[in-house]
Amino acid sequence: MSHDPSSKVDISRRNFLSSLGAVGLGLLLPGAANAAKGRPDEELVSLHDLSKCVGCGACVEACRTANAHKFPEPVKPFPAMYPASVKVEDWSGKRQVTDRLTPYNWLYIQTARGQYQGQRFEVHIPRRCLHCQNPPCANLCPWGAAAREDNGIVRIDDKICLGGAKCKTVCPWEIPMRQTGVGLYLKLLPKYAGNGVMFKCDRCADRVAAGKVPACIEGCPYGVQEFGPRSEMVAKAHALARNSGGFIYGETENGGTNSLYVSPVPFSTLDAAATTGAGKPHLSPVRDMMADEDKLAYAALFAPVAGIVAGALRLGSRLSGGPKNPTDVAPPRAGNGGEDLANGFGNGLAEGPDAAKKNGRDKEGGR
Amino acid sequence: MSAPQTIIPVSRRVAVAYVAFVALLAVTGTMQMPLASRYQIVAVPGLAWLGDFWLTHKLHYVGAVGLLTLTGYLTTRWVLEWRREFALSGLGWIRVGILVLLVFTGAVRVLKNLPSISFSPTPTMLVDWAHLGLAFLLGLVALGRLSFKASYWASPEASERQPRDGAPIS
Ligand code: SF4
Ligand code: SF4
Ligand code: SF4
Repeated sequence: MSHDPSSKVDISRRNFLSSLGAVGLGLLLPGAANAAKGRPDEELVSLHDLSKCVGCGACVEACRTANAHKFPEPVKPFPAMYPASVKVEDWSGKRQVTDRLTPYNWLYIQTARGQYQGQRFEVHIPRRCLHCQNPPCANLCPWGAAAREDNGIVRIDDKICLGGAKCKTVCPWEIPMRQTGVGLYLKLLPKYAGNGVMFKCDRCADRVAAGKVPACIEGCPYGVQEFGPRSEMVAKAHALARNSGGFIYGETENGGTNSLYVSPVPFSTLDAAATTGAGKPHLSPVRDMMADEDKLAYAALFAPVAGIVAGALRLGSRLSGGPKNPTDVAPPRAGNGGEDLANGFGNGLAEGPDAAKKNGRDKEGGR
Repeated sequence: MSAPQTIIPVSRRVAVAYVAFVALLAVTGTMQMPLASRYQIVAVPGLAWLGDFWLTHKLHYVGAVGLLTLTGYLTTRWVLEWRREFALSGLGWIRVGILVLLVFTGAVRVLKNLPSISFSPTPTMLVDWAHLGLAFLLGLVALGRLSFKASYWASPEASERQPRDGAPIS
């Protein structure tokens, strides 16, 4: 039997877990596990060579034009919100703003000027959502409105988002921007829950789905960005950094993002020199925000197994002469507190409802 | 015996542990919605932590680990030891059903939150909504049980004396 090297099976952890998810859920949620679709499961990455960027803003214009049909058209007057301390965020009258992120401006050019190794520098950095590999905005969205797709694009569904802005709070760069007066919340409880819709770069998902590159990449006259599979782009970024003595941002930040920046000046220097703040993200190091959850996920996976083993051991000890069945040993009266958890949970609690009432014990879980 | 009895196999401590884990999950789960700052809960002394999405998120995982361990333990014991003597009432089975679905939808979310797994947005959203709705339902069942003094356990005496369809005893 011949063996085609191109079809070799990659049993990396990623694929293993993807298959686990696909097998476990594919049956119940048709189309849920994208790993089952047989598409190449490499994420798409954009690589910025910042040494080429002149800050002309053509990419910003291209983004605004290509995505104009996705921009919010809020209904006014905005519904009153309770409590009164809840603030309206309205950018609909400031659509022309291009020097920061807004619901109408998903990309802006951040500029850092200063001195590095005795030389003056001016570096322009196109800033937008970095499309994290494990995005907190999507993982912590309580409403399922934000999601990561298998090609690495992280999107917020503007038909579902309620505008609670949690995604912005948990995003290490506070990227998503809110516009009040649009979206699903208007149809639910506009006074008490929600406050519009969150907007950010969706990596031109519609264009990418049609096989095109994002508008900002196509619109750049200087070829600052390249777009391709992660492994290829990471290799290129490293080669670029090596050859130019440059620095990389985005590869490991927040556990890894699908936007890579290569700069001739260290990012700590750029971060100190650039204006940061609301709508103007920083360039500091970011630890993997989901690292604890990843560990706890494995604990949750093994928790039922531990419980089952403890239950079986308990039976084993009872059969070999340990404490007997609760009804055998526990008289039906109040005050029999049962056994210690550490002792194996199991002795009996047996009381009448009257006793339970008297003791205030008639709680959820007791019976 | 003359007094009505509901004998249950779990110890008081287990019952308390169950309530504690469910309460932790309910509170931290509710706080995944951005309510704490909007409704000034964070201004209440001692409750500022409820506004920390990361802390409540991790605590939700911790609560899940606790509840899953307890569930594994109790299910095993019930199947191996208690099944015959301590049958569940209809309400008890409803609670089990809700818990199973809650665990399933929660597990989907936990899997999805791993760096290596992606699910399509629509099923993810439906799973989120189901998890939220099921938690609400579990609360309703608990409230209903308290207000109607119902039991999650079938009374051993009742099941001995009464036919299954609930017809009057002749
Ligand atoms: S940069 Fe922020 S908004 Fe973009 S994917 Fe990461 S967490 Fe989400
Ligand atoms: S990828 Fe598309 S949406 Fe994102 S900044 Fe570029 S043009 Fe705008
Ligand atoms: S990325 Fe290209 S289009 Fe955008 S500002 Fe830089 S040079 Fe201009």
